[in-house]
Amino acid sequence: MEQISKGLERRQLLERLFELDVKWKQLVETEMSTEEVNLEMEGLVETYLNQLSEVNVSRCPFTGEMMTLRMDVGGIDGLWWNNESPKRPESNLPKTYFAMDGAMKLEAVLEVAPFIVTPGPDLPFVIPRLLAFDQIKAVLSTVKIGAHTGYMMVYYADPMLEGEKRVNDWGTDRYWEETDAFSGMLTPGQWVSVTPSLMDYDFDLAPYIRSGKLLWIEPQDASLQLKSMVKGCPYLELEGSHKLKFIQEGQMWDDDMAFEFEEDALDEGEYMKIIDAIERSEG
Amino acid sequence: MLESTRLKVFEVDEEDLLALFTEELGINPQKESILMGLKPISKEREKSLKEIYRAYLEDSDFGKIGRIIGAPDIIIHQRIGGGSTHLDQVRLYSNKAEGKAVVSVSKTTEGIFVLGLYDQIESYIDWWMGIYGGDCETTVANYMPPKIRLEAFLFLLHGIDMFRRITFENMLAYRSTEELTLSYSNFAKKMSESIGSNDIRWLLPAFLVLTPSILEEDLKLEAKHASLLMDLNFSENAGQKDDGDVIMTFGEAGHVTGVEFYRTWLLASGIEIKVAGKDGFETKGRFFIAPTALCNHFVHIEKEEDGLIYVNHQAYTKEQLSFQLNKQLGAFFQEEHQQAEKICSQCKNQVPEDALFCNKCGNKLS
Repeated sequence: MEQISKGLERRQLLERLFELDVKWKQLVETEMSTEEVNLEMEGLVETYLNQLSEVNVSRCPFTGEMMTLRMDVGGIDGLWWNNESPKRPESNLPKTYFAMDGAMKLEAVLEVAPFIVTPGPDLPFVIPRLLAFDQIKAVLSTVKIGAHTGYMMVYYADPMLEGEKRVNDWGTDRYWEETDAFSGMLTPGQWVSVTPSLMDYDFDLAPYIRSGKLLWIEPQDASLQLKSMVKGCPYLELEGSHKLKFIQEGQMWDDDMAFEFEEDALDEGEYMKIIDAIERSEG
Repeated sequence: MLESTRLKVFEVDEEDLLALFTEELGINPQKESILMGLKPISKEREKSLKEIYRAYLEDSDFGKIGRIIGAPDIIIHQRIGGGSTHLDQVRLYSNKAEGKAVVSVSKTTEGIFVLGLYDQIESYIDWWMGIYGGDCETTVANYMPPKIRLEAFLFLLHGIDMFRRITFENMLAYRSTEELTLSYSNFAKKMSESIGSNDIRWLLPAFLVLTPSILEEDLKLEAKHASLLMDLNFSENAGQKDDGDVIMTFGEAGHVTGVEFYRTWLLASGIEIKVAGKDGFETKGRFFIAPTALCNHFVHIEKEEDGLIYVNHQAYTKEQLSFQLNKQLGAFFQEEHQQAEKICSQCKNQVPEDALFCNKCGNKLS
C-alpha cells in the first residue's frame, strides 16, 4: 500500500485519508466490510509518519541536550495535530524531558481537516504549578507550522519529578506517563488526560525569566542557544488572544473557559459552537 | 569508633607520616599514593615515633586510613580559595577493598597533616556543604546556560571580573556612574594580564588556578570566543572609538552577575575526580563551584566527542548543589553490583533486565 502512496504530496495524502475516513464511516453504517479501506488507510498513515521530518525544537537547560521531534511542520491539517487521535512517531526525548505545551499564532487561511485541532492560545505562557518545583525549568522556542507561528514551552526536570500531574502534549488531549521500575514490570505506563484551563496559565513571562525558571531561544536560531535575559526577549511584546482555540474544517472558535472572564463577548452563535465542540469531544 | 561518628580526625607531623604508615603499620604505598612524595624520617625522630603515636597505632581506624591512602583507587583533588579566601587544598582517597570509607588529607601551614576518615563520600559532602555551600533557598537566572565552549566561558568570567574592576576603579576615583563602559582592547589586555596573574581574588584566575589540571588543556583563546559576551548580553556594543576600538557597556547578564560577584563572592572550589583504570588513573570529572549570596554557581567541565571542552553552568540552591555533588561524586563510590540492564529492540532505551515492557516506548520485551 505504501507503494501506491509514494510520491504523494503531503496535502494529497491527507485528502485521500480524509476521503477514506468518510468512506469508512459509510461502510460501518451500512455494515459492509472495511478491510480494503483499513488497509489503504494504514499504508497512508505509515507513509505520513515516515515523511515527518526531524525538527530541533528545544534544548534542555540542565544538560544542554538538544530536543528533536519528528513532527508535522507542514500545517495543522496533518494527523500529528489531531487532538483526540494524534499520529506521532516515537521520538528520543532527553532524559530530563518532563512535558511539552504550546501556543500558536495563526498567520494564514486555516487548513481544512475533519478532526479538531487545539494549537493553544495565540501567545506563549507558562504553568506556574509546574515551575513552582525547584527542579523544573521551561524553555520557550518558536517552530513554524506551515504559515503559522508555533510556540513550544518544554518543561525539563532535574532530578525527574515523580507523582505530579503534567500537561497534555501540545495539540493533544493526553500525555504519556511512564510508570516506575517496579510497576513497569506489569505495564510500561499509561495515557493521562488533563483538562486544560486558562486558570493554570500565566502569560506574564518576564518574572519567570528573571527568576531563572524560564529560558528562551531566539526564533530561527538554528543553534538553539538558550538565553536568560529579559532584555531583548522577543516573546514579551507579542500581541494576541489568551483564549484556547479549537479548529475544525477550517473554522475556528475559542475555548468556553474564556467566557467566564469575558461575558460581554458572548453571543448565541459562538455559544452554540462551544456547546457543539464540547459535545463532539465528549462523544 | 567511626561506626558511631561519621568523621574521625588524626593529626600527624609531616616528617612522621611516611614512617608511621610504612615502618610501623607495614603499608606498601602504590604509585599514586600521597605517601610516595614524602621525605623519610630522621633516625633520631624515628626512635620516639611509637611513643608519640601510641594511641593512633592502636586505633584500627588509623590503620584503615593507611591502607586507603596507601593504595587508593579513587582520588578527588579539591582546591578552595578565591574571592577573599586564601588557597587551600584537600585530597580525598578511597579504596574499594576498604568499603565506602573516604579519607581526606590536608596540610596546615605548620606542616601538620590532618587525616579525616569519613564513613562515606556523602558525609564529606555534608561537611563541606555545611562550611562552604552558599546558603540559598531560591536561585537566580542562569545567564550562562549550557553548553558553552570552555574558551568562551573564560571570556564570560573575565566579563564579570571587568565589571568588578571598573566598579573598584570608579570608587577609587570618587566617580559615581550608572553607565560602566570599557573598550574591547582594554578588555583583551586585562584578560591576558589576569590569566598570567594567578591572582585568585579575581574570578577568571580563580577558575584556572582552583580547577585541577585545567591549565594542562590545550586552550586556544581567540577573538571569536568573545562573541558570546554579546550573544548572552554580558556586554553591549556602545559604539566605536576613532581608532576603531569597540566601546562596550554591560548588558543585563553582565550587570546582574557583575553586581552579584562584586558584592557577595567570597570563595570558590575546584574539584577533579580520578579513578584507577587499566592504564593508571584517569580523570573522570572536573567541577568548579562558586557560592555567592544569591546562588551556588556550579560548573561541570566536560570533554566531548569532538575533543573540545564544554562547560555546563548551573545556578543552584544549597539543596540542589548538595544533590548534584552527591550525584556526580557519589556515582563513583556506588557498589559495583549495579542492576543488570538490557536494551529495548524498538527504541534502544536501557531497561532493567527483568522488565516486561520498555518504560519509554511500551514495546513488549522478550
